[in-house]
Amino acid sequence: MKSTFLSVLALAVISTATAQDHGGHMGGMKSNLPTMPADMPRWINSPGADHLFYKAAPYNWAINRIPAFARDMYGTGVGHAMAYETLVTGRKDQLETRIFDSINRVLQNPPRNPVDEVALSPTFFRKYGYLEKVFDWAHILHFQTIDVFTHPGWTDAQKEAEIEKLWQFYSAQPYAITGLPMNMEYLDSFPYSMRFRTNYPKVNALFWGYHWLQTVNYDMLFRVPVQDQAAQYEVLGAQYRTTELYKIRDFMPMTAEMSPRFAKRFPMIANAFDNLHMLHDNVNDILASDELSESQKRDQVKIAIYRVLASTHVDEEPGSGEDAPGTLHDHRHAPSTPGMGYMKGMEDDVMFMSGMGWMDMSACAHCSIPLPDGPMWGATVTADGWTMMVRCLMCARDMAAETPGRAIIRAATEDPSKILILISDEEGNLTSNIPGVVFLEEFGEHPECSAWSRAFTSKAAFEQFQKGNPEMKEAKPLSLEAWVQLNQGTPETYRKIDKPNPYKSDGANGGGK
Amino acid sequence: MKLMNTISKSIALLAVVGAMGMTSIASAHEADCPYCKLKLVQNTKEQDNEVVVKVGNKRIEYRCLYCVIKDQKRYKGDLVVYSPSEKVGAPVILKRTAGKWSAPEGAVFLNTFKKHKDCAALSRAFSNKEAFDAYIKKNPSEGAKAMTLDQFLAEVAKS
Amino acid sequence: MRTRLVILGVLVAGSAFATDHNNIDSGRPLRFDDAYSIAFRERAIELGLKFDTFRRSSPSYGLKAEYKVGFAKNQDIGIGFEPSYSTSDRRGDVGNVELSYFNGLRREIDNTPALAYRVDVGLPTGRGSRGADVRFRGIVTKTVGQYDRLHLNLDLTTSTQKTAGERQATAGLTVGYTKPLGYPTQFDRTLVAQFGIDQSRDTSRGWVGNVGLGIRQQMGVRSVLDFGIEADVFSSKGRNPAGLRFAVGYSVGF
Repeated sequence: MKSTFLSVLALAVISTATAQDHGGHMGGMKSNLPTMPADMPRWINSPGADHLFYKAAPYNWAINRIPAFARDMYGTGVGHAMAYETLVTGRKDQLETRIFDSINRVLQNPPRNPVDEVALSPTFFRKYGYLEKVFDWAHILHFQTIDVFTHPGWTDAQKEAEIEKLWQFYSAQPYAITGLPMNMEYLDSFPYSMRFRTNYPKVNALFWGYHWLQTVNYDMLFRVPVQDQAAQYEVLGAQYRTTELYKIRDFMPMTAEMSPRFAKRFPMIANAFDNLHMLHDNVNDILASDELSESQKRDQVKIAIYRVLASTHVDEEPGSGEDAPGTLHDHRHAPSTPGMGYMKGMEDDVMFMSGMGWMDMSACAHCSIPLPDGPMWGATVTADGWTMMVRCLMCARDMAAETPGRAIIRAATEDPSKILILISDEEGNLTSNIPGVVFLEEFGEHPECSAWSRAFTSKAAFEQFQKGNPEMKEAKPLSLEAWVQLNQGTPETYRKIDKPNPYKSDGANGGGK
Repeated sequence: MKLMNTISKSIALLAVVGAMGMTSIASAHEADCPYCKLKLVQNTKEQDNEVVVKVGNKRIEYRCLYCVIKDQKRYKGDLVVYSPSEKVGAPVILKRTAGKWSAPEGAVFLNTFKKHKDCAALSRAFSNKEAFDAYIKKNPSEGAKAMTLDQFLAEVAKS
Repeated sequence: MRTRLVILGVLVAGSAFATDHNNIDSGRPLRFDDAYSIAFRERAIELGLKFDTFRRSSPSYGLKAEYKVGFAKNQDIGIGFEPSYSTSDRRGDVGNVELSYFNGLRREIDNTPALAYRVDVGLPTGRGSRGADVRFRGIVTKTVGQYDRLHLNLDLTTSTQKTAGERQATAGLTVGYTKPLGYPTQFDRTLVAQFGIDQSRDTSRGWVGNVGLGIRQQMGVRSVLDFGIEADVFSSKGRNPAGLRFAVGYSVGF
């Protein structure tokens, strides 16, 4: 009784949310709970199962071309379903033990086929069937976008056009989640927020671990030839199964954090996935809040759905909401990152990234020089669970070299249709997807590094570049073997942003890179 | 909105540049230790603290020598460890060649930390016994004794 | 006439995600449905072979093929064919053509079961067939325990043409049971079982009881293999029930 009272008191105290922007306050603990909006969509109370099929297309289930990836993705269907069923059947005391073991066993031995989440959590879906419609539809978008990227025979332009069509196909249904950036701090600020991750950190780590998988894969696939995708998954899959599933994070992985190139190209999809994952977190928290009655839980789940539905934000624009910061209609984003809503403590492009500390999303993660605007890009480095944008090949190589474990470098070449994929082993030995790749590295001033540190698909392309850039006429093309031996050390331009971790109340330093 | 973004971005850049002016120039290797996950301790004018492991083309930093030895199994190739010593800019260089460790003649080791927050100060190498004694005099540590490399490795292995 | 009845009982498929092992269609492999249509925009093809040993010395073989379309939310339509071959007659039959419509009225919510109905029309395209058969089936699905489900199917069948010795309308009741196998480590197999009673079209016979047991096994992302065995276990009037019916099928959605 005492603990219940204290829980209620704590909830009331920690509530920072103004909840829904629809008014309607009640007394006591209830006063902080979001209230039911007047314009709740009618479908939410529809009794039909309303199952929707995915868009018929030749690429469907192309994910199976990377069997390990496909299986890991199929396994993700089990986690939330098992946990939800456990919570609604009054077995919460088993979550961190028996249920964790069950989920973990499946994630480590994933199924060969997708899992029907409804069949796994029948009690939950009898109570919250409307949620299934939102989850299912978004999960279909997840899988179909992956299928497009893993489908052989299409050009990048065709694939990107199809992704746009998929987004339209998805958005046409009333269950669609908004592609607008949402203020994540707001969405995580309700009286029940953070309850699940606090009470069930191991299971939550599994959830966020597979949200990492669900978001990190897009840069593995985006504009990457299908034959170069599976090799990357050897690195990412091992990282997922050995580390990411068990990592205690400050906040859920964000799509733009894990796949910045994809998020830049398709910000609406990146936002929708983040909003979906936050809806999952909201539902976890609601179900884990014992002080809420059954009726309150049902209302709060509906309200949580309402918050992220596209229909709630009709006619609103990305970037809007400066006049209402930290509210439901705050759609601001980092100027450099339209595919991510505002995060806790975020100031424009400077945000806290779990595992990396404070980062300036508009600057090279290695040398702190601003990234160039426009489509031109240098490279990304994926290592130790994070993915970072860097300005040039040199920054990518040196950043990978100073990070323990295997790494993936994805870099632009002179040919926009050929992305360079370098995979590093534990000792920094690199393999390339382009056999004749050569490098330019005429070390100069860091602010110009993207001009003198580049990759070319062939020696001929290198020489062609020299013809157009006479200042590089003395440069020698470097083979991969010669280039990887180089290390220019710590860039003097690097600046660490030293601020406390916003997710830690003890003022702990942000740490990280 | 685009204008606002540009303006706010400029403000953010100014803020970052301003913050840079107030803090010492930090390096890109200001990361967490791969083993103990605590922040790396940066070098100071008076004392080096960064332990650097060179393995193949990688150059990985650790918080202390203990962490390196504990984490060595992840590396299959030969290692070179630049361990901060009593003298700035003059690390004690340890090598693991074909699985066998070696250290410069006369090098001794300290390993007395109880909690990892103290490991950078209390798991270190010294070029000789005199340097060790001088360090302990300045940084008293209960049970401190100068160990040979083999003794140090054995102690880390059993902990 | 019996042939036509079997066709209606076994051939016409429908309901649910045809290509998910957890979602149950009549004929794949047993005769009951669950209360869920295939998904909106889903298309499914179901193929099946049945082997009927009712006459042990001269068994008959039947092929079943059905194409279904989820044309709206919770609603699907289908067309089915069942060519067959009788060893006693040593001749084949193009079989009747079956048209079906399925409507899922509501999903299972709290303690109220899922409800659906389907209407099947059997067109007399087979050898010796006369008149059309129309069947209305009401379907109730309810979870029992944590994962197991019961499916109640109530059938009313009528024919546009009745001959002497035939009933104009017949009724039937089937209770189906499904249980996912392998939880919480495997998620690709479902056990199906049924007990049913059907009123015979033949006025010389009464009610015939039947039991069945089968497995639905997920093979690929959208394909399911099924195997089932059915037997009549009693008859209230007329000749004793005998023989077994085997069915094996493969369903794929796209």
